[in-house]
Amino acid sequence: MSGTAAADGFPAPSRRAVAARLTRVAGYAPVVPALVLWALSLRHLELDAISDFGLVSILPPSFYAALAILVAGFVAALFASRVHEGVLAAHTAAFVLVVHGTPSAAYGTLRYSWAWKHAGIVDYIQRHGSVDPDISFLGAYHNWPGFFALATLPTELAGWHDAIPLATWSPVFFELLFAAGVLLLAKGLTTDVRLAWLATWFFLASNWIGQDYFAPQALSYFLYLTVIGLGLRYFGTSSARVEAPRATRAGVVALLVLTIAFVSSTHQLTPFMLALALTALVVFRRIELRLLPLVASVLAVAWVVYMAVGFLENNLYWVVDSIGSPEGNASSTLINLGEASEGMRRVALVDRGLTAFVVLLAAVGALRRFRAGVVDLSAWLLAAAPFLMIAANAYGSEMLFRVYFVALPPMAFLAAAAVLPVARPRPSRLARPAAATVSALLIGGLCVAYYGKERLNYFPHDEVQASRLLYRIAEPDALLVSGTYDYPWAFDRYERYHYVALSREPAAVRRAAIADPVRALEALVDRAGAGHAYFIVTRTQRAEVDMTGVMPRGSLAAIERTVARSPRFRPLVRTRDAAVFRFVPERTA
Amino acid sequence: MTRVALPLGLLAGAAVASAAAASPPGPARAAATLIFLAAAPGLAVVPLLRLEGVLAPALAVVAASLVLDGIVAETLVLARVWSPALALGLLVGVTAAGAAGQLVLGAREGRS
Repeated sequence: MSGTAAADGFPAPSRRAVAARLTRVAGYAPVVPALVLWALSLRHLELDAISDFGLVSILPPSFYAALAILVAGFVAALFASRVHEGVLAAHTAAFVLVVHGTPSAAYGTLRYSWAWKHAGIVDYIQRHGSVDPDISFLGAYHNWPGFFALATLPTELAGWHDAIPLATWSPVFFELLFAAGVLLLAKGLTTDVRLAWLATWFFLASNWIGQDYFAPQALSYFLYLTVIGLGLRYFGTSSARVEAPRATRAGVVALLVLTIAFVSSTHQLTPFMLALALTALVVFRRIELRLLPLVASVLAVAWVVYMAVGFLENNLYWVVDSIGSPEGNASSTLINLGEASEGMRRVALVDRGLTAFVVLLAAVGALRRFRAGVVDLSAWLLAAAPFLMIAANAYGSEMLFRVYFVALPPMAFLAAAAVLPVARPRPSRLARPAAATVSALLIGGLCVAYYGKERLNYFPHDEVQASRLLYRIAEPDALLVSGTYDYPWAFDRYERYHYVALSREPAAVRRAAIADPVRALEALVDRAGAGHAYFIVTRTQRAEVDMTGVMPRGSLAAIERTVARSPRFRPLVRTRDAAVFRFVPERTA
Repeated sequence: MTRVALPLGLLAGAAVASAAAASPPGPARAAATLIFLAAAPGLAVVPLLRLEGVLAPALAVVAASLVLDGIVAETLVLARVWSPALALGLLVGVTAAGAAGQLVLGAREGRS
């Protein structure tokens, strides 16, 4: 019954074993058509037609078909009688590639203006071999240089001129690391493999924040997940803990301390988030490493006091100003819906709806687990601890996003528990359709929320070329004036220039720029006392003005037209997507 | 066999990465150096911890690699002695030391 003898004398594998192997191989099958459909969907994307509603306005049905196949394949594998983690991992990796690889593969240019700025810090280290903690512009990066020093290493060793090739595929790289980190964290919370994988899946499906680009936050977030995950796995007090010899535990502690030390020198916020999370876990006796929160706190504070003190002195006013004002810190994160375009308003509403849905699911999951007799105190603590930071700082109007980002893994775990509250060999009949439905809803929201600002994040080739030209020809100490900072900037010898964006000027200056652009720009050049000045306007800047309402719709395009007619500005390049003008001093004009 | 294969593979990988870094820029150089930086330093030290399973060791390898790369690079930058060749040399040293440690440990366990 269990097997038959083969003619050559070796026992043939049993039918059951062959069937099991075939089932496992068949589990991988959906990944192939999904990736083929995805590749096909990239062929004819009309990037120029991206609307205020983001990338979803141009994505073809084949893209969504690829996602649907991955959801179906993942859910089928998750609820198979025997869970094959390799199959789940393949679907997860394919999902990351499809969602986060689409902009990288389709655009052909580096996405998001902040990523260009971060490439500029790598460029600085490449040229100087050091950082300048006293530098006035982008000083925080010079005071927490861990990520940038690290990124300079592969850039140089790979023989690249700059970090742009490295930065272009960063979202895929970091999201894969996030997925592995969340899975480790979930496995430190439960022994239920299905629940851990569904938590990872839900995390990826609801991580719309976009902190996966080339930035210190992405690296330090992965290391945060690693520290918490290894801490729970090897030093946790739950049944999910792995028993290990003393030497192994000592080695893990050494790795954790080294990682925390590096995080402290890499990012301003994450070391404190990490110290808070570890403190909460120790106070409530969820992990045994009593000294680790102290080590994390000392390292975080020591870096600020000894290595970043200059930066702190220069920025103490807003740090102190935002302490103890949680309402202001939270509300400063949210965009003003009254001024935004219709598309941006809808996207913002989807952002908020998706966030609320995840929180609701997490609450339902916590309740279902509680009723089943399981209290996931570690998950609750990890979800709640980041919210304390809202009281401490506005973090450049980003605090609420960062808090959601850090709280998301434990919330995704609890959300998954809403579908799979208790571990069973055969989950309930409703669990499978529930997992598929929730996945579809989350991913639908993710596509709108994560891709919702792509009109502001995608830079056409002409725009990149115009910016590269500007940085090639601009003299040292030149003033670079732009409509907004939403363009490829500060990536090449960035410290040599002074920067002004009309959108960041006081309302009176913005009004003057609209009323009489040439005179207003002359006044800005006079104010800076710059010997040389340039004005750059790009399609993405125009889009930002029109979408955010920081200036009246169409006003930047009107300013550009007026400047183009003025003898005080000589056009160096002028295409549909970008224009660069050189300011001509009065005598010459 | 595997106790010998990994450290020897690491030593070979370190040699390949060193040679690649000195070669003209191109996809092969980029691939060799990126793979080395993402995995080799971690693969040199994490197996010494004897972590069980697949996920925790794999994640620890990548995290340890990035942390060791970062600490070496950051130290050189802050000390104003930045040199990509020196950074690579130090990481090759870490990798070689870890590989040697694995070989010694493997030999000891083999004897006992």
